[in-house]
Amino acid sequence: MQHAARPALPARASSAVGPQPLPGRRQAVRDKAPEKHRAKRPAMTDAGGDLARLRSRDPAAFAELYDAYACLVFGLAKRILGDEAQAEDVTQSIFVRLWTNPELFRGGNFAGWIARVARNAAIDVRRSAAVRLRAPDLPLQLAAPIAIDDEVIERMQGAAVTDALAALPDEQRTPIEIAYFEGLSYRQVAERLGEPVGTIKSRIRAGLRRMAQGLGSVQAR
Amino acid sequence: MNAHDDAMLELASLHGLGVLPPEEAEPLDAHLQACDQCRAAFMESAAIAAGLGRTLAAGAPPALRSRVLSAIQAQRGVSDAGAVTTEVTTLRRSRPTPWARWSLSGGVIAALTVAIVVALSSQHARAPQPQPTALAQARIYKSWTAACSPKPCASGGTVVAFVSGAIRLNLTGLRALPKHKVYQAWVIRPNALHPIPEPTFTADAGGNGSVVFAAKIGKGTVVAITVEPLGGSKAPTTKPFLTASLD
Repeated sequence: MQHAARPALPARASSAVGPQPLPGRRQAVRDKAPEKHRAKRPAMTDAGGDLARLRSRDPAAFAELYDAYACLVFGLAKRILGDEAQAEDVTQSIFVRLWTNPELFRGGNFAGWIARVARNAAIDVRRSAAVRLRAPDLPLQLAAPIAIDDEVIERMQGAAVTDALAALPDEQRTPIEIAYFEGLSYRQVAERLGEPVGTIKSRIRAGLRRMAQGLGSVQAR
Repeated sequence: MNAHDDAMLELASLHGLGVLPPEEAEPLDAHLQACDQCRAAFMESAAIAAGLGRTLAAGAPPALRSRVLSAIQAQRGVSDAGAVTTEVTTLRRSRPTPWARWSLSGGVIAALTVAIVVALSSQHARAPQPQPTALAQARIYKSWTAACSPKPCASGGTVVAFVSGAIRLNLTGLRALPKHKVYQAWVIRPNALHPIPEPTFTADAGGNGSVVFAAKIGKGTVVAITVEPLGGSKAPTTKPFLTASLD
């Protein structure tokens, strides 16, 4: 199956055991990734320290939080928006909003939560770019409807996720890449790829299941 | 598991990845609270999404850190401008930009050189704030006319602008506008085709007005102020009476 568009695979995450070689094109793509995209990786778990930092109302603690996660927020926003200045706006808006409304984060894994917030905020900014009247807001619905457990996130360390994605067949990997990294809905992906909506939905689901199995995730099915 | 459950699990999984349209995601949220299987499917995909997001981490500009931390300091009500003054920059008359529909000549825009005081300010407060201390005096502002068809609603005056750390523009010398008109700020990025609408504001009895820019104001970014209908506009409807860019 031929796909008209295929987004580049993101830079590979560094890991304690060092980068694992990948076959062919994908490794070449990763090797070209800018160093700064590989340099900083936010911690994925911190056993409640992030929530405590948020609620402490201590600027120094908040600065630590910013230092730990700004690269994640900025990188995601930049990827979705394709514009560094807008990505900065989104990053600033998210952290300022977090400072003023720490209750927005209601527990669970902070990295997973803020990654979701950043991605949704960037998508929101892109959707409303033509009519933007102020900095992007962060309504509660932008966050995950349920907290993501640290235990689950722990399995997503290092290069494991990108390796799991790379191992998928094209027909599953491509819609996941387009949907996540370009900030599109599955319906938009279907339109992009010229495939039926139901087909894309099933392929994304199947790809995610396969990735989860490879990553040792647990799910009741 | 029946077909209905399969469909719900599929949606929950896609929701976890963050690829459901909002109109499909919102109704599902309530179901996730009640259904263990769908919640697990959501969680599984959300964890993968978090891992994918992590691969995109990129170094954020150091200046952004300063802006964010200044903004939260301002939120705390710290207002000791002298203690945090870090930079003095000069606004200058804007260069011509691709934003060609705004004529920046013809006496509408006069040369404007103002002092910028970098201080802490609130990101959200839009009411006029105590003026920061100017490090240098505004120099020239000739004349301007803000259109309130069929007649001008305000014109002339000397406007002094101050910019603070959270990109607040404080203006003095503003004329009071009719009730159905407001001042509105705009940001024009280098090579951008369209201005970005920023918040509206009004002048108090003393002619003071203040606006906090949502967008980043960096080198080469032009800021402008126009008079717009109450509620603001998505695109400027009048010529700017003030335009400037950072040196």
